[in-house]
Amino acid sequence: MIEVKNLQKQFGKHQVLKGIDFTINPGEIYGFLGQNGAGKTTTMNILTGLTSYRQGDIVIDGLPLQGNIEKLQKVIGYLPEDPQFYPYMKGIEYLEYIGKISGYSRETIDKRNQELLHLVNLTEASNRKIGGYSRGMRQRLGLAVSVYNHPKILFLDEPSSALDPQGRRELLDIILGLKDENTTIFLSTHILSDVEKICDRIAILHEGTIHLEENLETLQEQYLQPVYEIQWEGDCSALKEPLLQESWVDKININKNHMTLYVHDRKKAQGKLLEVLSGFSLPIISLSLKRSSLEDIFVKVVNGK
Amino acid sequence: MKNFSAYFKKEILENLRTYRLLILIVAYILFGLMEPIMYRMLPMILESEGFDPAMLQMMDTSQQGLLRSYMANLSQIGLIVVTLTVMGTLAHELQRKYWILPRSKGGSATSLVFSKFLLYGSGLVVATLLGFMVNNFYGRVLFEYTGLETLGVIQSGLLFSLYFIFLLSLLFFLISIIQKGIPAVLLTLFVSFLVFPLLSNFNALQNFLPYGLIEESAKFFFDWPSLGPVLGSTLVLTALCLFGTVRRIKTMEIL
Repeated sequence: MIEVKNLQKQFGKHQVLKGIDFTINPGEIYGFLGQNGAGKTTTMNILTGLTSYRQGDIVIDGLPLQGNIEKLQKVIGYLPEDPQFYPYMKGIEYLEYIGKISGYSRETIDKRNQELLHLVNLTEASNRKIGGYSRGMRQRLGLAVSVYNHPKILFLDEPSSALDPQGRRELLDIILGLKDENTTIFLSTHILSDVEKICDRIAILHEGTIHLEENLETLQEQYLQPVYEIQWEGDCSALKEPLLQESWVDKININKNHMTLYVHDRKKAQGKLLEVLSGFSLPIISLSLKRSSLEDIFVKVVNGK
Repeated sequence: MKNFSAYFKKEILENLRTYRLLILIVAYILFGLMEPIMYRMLPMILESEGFDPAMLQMMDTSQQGLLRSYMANLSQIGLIVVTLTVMGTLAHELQRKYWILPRSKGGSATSLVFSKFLLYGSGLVVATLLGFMVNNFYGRVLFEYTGLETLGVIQSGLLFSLYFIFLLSLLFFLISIIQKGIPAVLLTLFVSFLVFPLLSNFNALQNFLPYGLIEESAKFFFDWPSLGPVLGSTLVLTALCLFGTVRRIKTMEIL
């Protein structure tokens, strides 16, 4: 659905994108992560035809972006990070304006406006001037505008950053609903828990290049830490010495009945751990392999660890 | 111009809510009213302050003189009011990024610029004609003037407003380049107050400067032999400014 090869962009002497490559499959939610200033918004602006680029090939929905921007804008939806609206307009008037610009008929505009206002939960506020909307309401109106044309591909730049927890949850539901309708979604966000909830694949953009691109599940599997958390029924300090005798054990931390066990070799530990632990007379309440959160992975990639 | 009517309706709505055009029209009418009153009051003011009433003879207190004085005020204070009032309409689109969402939906830069130009250009013609008519009517009432035909006043008003329309296109062009309202206003004023008067000293240029429309409007009739070149060059420069504005907005990088 989107193919980007060797994309480069320079602002003055600063090269923001140093040749990035990625492919997004139809119907996929692609999480685009990176620190502030990494070039996420620039990439989005390029892909939506709002900014030029120095070098590279971009193909969207089978068409090269260069020379087909107007055609592609009909199948693209874009929600900028901080969408700006005419403050004197009412929400419904703005949607009508977008409908007319998009070339829809009167009936289609009326119908679509109602659908979208309901979708983003702005029906009651639709007759209020946008100047009086909160940032979250403006964000939701922006989402309505971005999906006005039933886009095949939706670009969302930090869509949930201005929303409260309830609003965020609703937004994620809307995004998942759009995925169910086979919309391809390119999502840039720094709220990593959102990415974990909805993205199929992620890419981490750092210093102008993509440092990591992976399926989310595979990624979490790759970044499993060789650390076990074990909770015992009683004080487990006496178990430390015998466990340290095992060759695959690296280090043990104990806090009353809670043990953190670091291993050298996770595969070897998986085979031996249960056998060794069952040899102790102290019952185990729980045992888990510590998983890296996306935040841990992000920090590792960005710090080059 | 794709979906021009959508843009034009939006501009009308903007004006109904922000009162920009209304401010312009009211300002023009007020200036038009003030001029005859000042002319009427001036002898009394001078006398009460102990000035020699003979000083009044230096002023052109004819019907034409009254209108010319109005034009002089409009071309200075009026221009400041116009540029400051109108600058926001395009500057905010670019500076506050109102333009991004419509553009991402395939919005047309040509329709955006021309809808604003058509509305404010028409507004300027209406405001100028109303101001001229009010000034002329009030002058007749206060001084019992006769002689100047209404048609002459209208012709004068049209030429005068055309100069302002050119400055409007220049303002748009400068905003599209600088993307900020106030610096673009200052540059427009600089061109009108300093550059044009300086250039009009060169014989080769003076017949082609839009500034010449002010002199032409002071004649109160269409003097085609001298008006033709000024009119032609003004129309060409206006078109160039507008197309430059559209081109600049179309190729503008959104950061």
